[in-house]
Amino acid sequence: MTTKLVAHSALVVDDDVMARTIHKRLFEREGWLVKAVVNGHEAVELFRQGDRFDLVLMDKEMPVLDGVHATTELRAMGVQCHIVGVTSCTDSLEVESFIGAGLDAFYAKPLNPAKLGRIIQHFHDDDRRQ
Amino acid sequence: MAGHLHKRLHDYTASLINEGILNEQFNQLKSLQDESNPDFVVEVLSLFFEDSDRLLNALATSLDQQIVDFKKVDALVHQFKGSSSSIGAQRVQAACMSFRWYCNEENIEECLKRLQQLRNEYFAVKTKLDILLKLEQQILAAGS
Repeated sequence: MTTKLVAHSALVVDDDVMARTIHKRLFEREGWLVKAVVNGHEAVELFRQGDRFDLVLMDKEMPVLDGVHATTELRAMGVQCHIVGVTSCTDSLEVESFIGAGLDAFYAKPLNPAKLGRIIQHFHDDDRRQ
Repeated sequence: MAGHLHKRLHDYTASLINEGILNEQFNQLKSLQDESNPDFVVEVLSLFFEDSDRLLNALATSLDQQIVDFKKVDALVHQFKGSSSSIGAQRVQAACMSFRWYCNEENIEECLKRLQQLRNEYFAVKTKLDILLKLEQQILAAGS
């Protein structure tokens, strides 16, 4: 019996070109298929058009539509995939409001291989529970 | 030849970390470079230089307005803080943090001083990173 390995997919949502480049590379190195967009509005539009991802890596502060509002909209649309918030913001109230918008997990920037390992582990643990 | 270049790069990177110019985040970034992405560090450093030039220009323009939009200035400094922390440029990151304090205070004089300090820290790290970038490019050219 052969086992078909299916690559997981991630959507990186960040207005910072460096963050997009680094986060994309972090996921691709783990064998994930990655798409990157520059703000929450583009992320929401992808889902509206029928695109689906296993995990969304959502930055908090972005122009046009920020991470809090984008996460709120995605959850209101019925999007149930894993959404991980990332930010360098240290204000605890702002972080709480981001988490309260519907995140499955939150990590402080900058991301690195160890943090991505935890993000992926958390994703797999949640996946197994469902 | 390539081995010698690798050693020079390794030693130079270690010296930048010892001096506090870079932190461990830079090594984390470097670990993402491999045979499938041999120019990842060059790519990221080039992005950092372009983005930093853009942000410094935007900050100078924003602080030169008759009525300064401190929220806009703060947002620009926040971006700069983010990109500098992504590559481990910790002195630039620290300069951004103190700049943000004065954006919050809406203190134009201090913001102008912080901008100058940020420029100084950025150009100091850029000089060092330029050397690092050249070493990476030499290694790429040597084919290893």
